[in-house]
Formats: sequence, C-alpha cells, structure tokens
Amino acid sequence: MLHRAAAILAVTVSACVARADGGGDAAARVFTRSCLPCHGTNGSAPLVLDSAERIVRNRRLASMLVEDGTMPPSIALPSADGLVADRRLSSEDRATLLAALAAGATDAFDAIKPSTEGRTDDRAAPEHDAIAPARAWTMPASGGARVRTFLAPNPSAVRVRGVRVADPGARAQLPIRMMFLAADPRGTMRVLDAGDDGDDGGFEAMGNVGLVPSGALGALSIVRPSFELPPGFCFEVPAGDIAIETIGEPIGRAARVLPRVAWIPAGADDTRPVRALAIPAKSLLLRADTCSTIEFTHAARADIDIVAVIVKGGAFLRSAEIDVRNDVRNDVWNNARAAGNAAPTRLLTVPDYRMAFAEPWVFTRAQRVTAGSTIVARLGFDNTADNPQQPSRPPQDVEGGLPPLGEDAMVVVLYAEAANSR
Amino acid sequence: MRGSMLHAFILLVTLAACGCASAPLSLHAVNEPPAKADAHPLDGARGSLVALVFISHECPIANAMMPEIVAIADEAKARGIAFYAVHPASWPTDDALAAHARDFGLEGHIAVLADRSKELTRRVGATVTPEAALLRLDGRGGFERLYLGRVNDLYAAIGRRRAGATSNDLLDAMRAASEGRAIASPQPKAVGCFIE
Repeated sequence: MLHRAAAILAVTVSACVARADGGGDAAARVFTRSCLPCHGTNGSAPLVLDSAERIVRNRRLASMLVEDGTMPPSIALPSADGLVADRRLSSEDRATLLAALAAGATDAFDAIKPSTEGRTDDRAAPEHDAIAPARAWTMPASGGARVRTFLAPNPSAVRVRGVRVADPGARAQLPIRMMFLAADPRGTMRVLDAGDDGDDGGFEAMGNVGLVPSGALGALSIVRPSFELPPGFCFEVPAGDIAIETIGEPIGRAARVLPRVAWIPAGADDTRPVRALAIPAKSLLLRADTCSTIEFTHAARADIDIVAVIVKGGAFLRSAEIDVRNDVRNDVWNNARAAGNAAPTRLLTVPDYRMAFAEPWVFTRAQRVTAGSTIVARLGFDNTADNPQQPSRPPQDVEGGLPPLGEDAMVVVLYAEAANSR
Repeated sequence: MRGSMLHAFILLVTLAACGCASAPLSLHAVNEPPAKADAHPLDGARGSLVALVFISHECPIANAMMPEIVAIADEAKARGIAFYAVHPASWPTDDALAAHARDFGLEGHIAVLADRSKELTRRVGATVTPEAALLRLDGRGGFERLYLGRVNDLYAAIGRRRAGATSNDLLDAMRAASEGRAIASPQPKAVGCFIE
C-alpha cells in the first residue's frame, strides 16, 4: 500500500516537473522551430536573432510582427484541405511566444538551439557541389529592386529533388531576395552575358531560356532557402549552363552578389520528371491611379499533377489567385455550358503579395488537373497612390518590364504528366 | 591617435529638454567627427539647428537608408545644420560601430555617437531606428523639437520597400526650418526597429 502511494506520488511529481520544464522551454521551442531557421546565425533573414539577448533586444518588433501575422512570413493561404505547406503559428504557439516576448526575460529563450545543428539547409555545401557563376556583380547601395541573371556551369546531367542556397551564411548573398533557375543546355544566353556591362558578372535581363521560364528548375527566396519537390518527383537537369535569375534589394552599402546554389539529390523513388508551364501576363499595361485584375488562363491538354506554383511579381502586384476550372473532359463543345457553372478548385490564394516574403509554393500533395480543364491565374495590381510600394508620385502608367519601374508578372506552374503515375 | 581622439569625445553634456532642467547626458563619439566643433549635439548657439538620426547597426531598415541619410547630412552641412547619427544602444562595441560607419559610408560625412544610456534618445523622444529629429537649440543645452519622425517613406512597412522614397520628410523639414517656414508634417510615423 505504502509502495503504491509512493509510486503514485513519484509519477505525479515527475509529471509536474515535466510540465514545468515544458512550460519553461515552450517559447524557446516555438522560436527554434518557427523563427530560428531564418533568423539564426546562418539564416537568410536580414535581422539576426540567434541568442536570447538579441531576441529580447528586439522583442517589441518581434511581438508586433508575430501579433499581426507578418511573422513567420506565410503570405499564401492554404486551400481548405491544407494543400500548401503553411508556416503560420497555431494560436497556442503564438500566445506562448507573445507571452514570453512581453515578459522580456532572456531565460525564456535560453534554450533556443542554434540552427546550425541538424539542418542541412543551413550548412555550406562543399565547394565542388556548388553551382556558381564565375563572376559576381556589385549591387549599388541604394535604389529599387534589381533583376540580374547569372550563368553557372552544371558539369553533368543530374536528377535532383530540388535546390538550395549553397552558402546561406554568406553576407554576400544578403541583397538577394529571390532566385529562379532554368537550364540553358545550348548556351543560348551566353551572348547576353558577353554583351553586358564590363567585367561585372551576370546581365540585366530575366532568366527565361526561350520558352522555358525562369523557375523551371525551382526557385529560392529569403523565406525558402531550400526548395524541394514532393516525394516521388524530380528535375532532370541537363549538362550545360544554369540560368540563375536573381531579384535583389539594395542593403545600404554596395554589396557583392554571387548566387551559389547546390542540388538536392533525388532518391531512387523520385522518378517523375517535373516540367514548367509559364502563364505570363502578356502586354501588361497598368494605368496610373487604377487597380486592375488580370485573368489569364491555360487549358490543360493532358492530365497533369501540379506540384508547385511560383508567382512572380513586383511592386504593383497585390494579390494572386490560382484556380483550376474543371471545364470539360474529352469533349470541349458538348460540355462547354456545364463548364461555366462548375465551381473552380482553388489551388492558391495570396491575398497580400509582398515580394520580400514571396516563395515557391509547394503543395503537400500533387494536385491533379484533368485534360480539358483550365488553369486560371488571377492577378490583382494596384497602381494607385495607396499602394504602399508605389514608386512614383504621382503614379505613372506602368508597362511590362524589369523592376523597379516595370512590372514583370508571371505564374510558373511546375507539374508532372499524370500518365507517368499510372 | 585615433583612440585618444575617441576618448577625447566622451562627453558630459547637461541638457534641458524644451527648457526643462535635466540630468547629465553621457554620449560617446565612435568615429572621427567631420568637424570637431560639431561633436556636442546640444552645445550650439541659440537658434541653431541640429538634426539627429537614430540608427542601429543591426537594423536592416536603418542600414538600407544609410545612402539617403548621408546625402541628407551633406545638404544639412551646406545649410549650416549640425548632423549626427546616434546609436541608442548599450551593447555594441566602439569597434563594431566604427566598422559600421566605415561600411555604410558615414565616415567623413556624419559624426556618429553612441548613446549608451539612451538619455538623449529618451529626451528627444525617438522610439525606433531609423528615426530623425530636428531641434532648435536654446543656447543653454536645451532645445525646441521641431520635427520627429521618419527620414523618408522608403519603407511603408516591414517587407514593403519602395523602389525609392517618394517623400523626403526630414529633408523637407530641414529646408523649411532653415528657411523660416513652417514644417508641413512635423511628426510622420517612422517605420523600423524599436529602440528597446
């Protein structure tokens, strides 16, 4: 009897201790999981929060951004069935983090774990694995976002699951906000590289290779320094040049820009090759002082499985919606009326697009689009004075072109042919 | 030589903000000021103008605005307005702040002060970096605050940066004050990193 009571007491005490420990470290755990991957020592975020002291020093900013949902950045809303990987905090985690930040004591964050432990994304790739252009470009200290495309040699054909930043801790990469990759096996873009300004690396143009859009081999961003296809899928990368289109923002001092990436090898089961479908906003014209929504479509001619979507836009893009309209199957004419009434399937919603927090959106499972269906991209633009990123006062007409004053809007759909899975 | 210069600029300045008596103020110069006489931000003649920009070497938004801040400082100098960058923080070393001044092109343009006790920051009322203040000195260590707010509108919010600023609030305020005109917008909200 006495032994039984002692055992119950011991279990109760240990449970209480466990809860107490758990409560004490809860904020550190949330921070380690949700914030440190980007804000760690080698993270991609501009503001480093890799110690309890640094977190507490920035607690008001952190609280404000966590409270209003800006952080952790997750500007795309998942569909109803949770299709897009979502890094938003649960209400419980948010409350835990906010309470610890409000308390302002470093103890709550003493247990954060440096992000260099156990995360391959945060480690520099071996030099021989890096895909890197030969020469860097120096970004000026000030001005707007700039597009610069670099060519990097890929020595041999490879099958990969994705791509990552090769040296995420390098300060040289700080100006880069996004990178989009495409293969140029025939070296068609070398003429651009040779013809650009002087000794600087890269050239001022988009990284589309003919009809192949930049992003066809994935994309990377500050919030996603590692891009990986879902299991079972791969990119077949030919030998030759890799075009790396970068979008960067000046950081207040002249900075060297040298995009270096490394492939993430495919596994034996990652056999379904992924291709890219570009849906560009053609002949873009955004009139001054107007908001506009432009809808553009692509009819699927075969069954495909969409694995990721990349939305490219600049200062004027404010929202994006990607739907699949299951119009017809195999009989366009007879089913056309029914098609108009069919409820579309929403793949992606970005209600408040910010280039700084954009990323390639990878679906947790592939989205089947049947032949005859239509992929509908609806992009909302704001060329009024109310646009918080409006670069002109008063607003000016804007045409398609390079940022910062032009707008290049495009949706890149990464897909695999469904026949491969049957 | 450099070290002795730095120590020479450890200042004890008595302030009277807006005419009120106040405690001694500790400021620490971390770079070679462009003009030695300008090293005392509140120790100027009655009616003279002083611009302060509160910055942080860790704040990406403050750093992104450094080229604009340097350009404004150059115009301030041409207008006879003393101009200082102030780090309101206790933890950075002098070396870190001096390196920051070199990296971001402040050297030769702006005197950089460390306000380790944040006394000056509190008296002026700055709450974020970057944030600017324009003061008219009373000649007795006190001042009238003419302007407190953003440097410009390069950032509308965190993650919302324009291609370029469309309003130059601090510059407009300096021009107005130095020309005897009213400042149209004396307190536009600053966006940046909070001063803790």
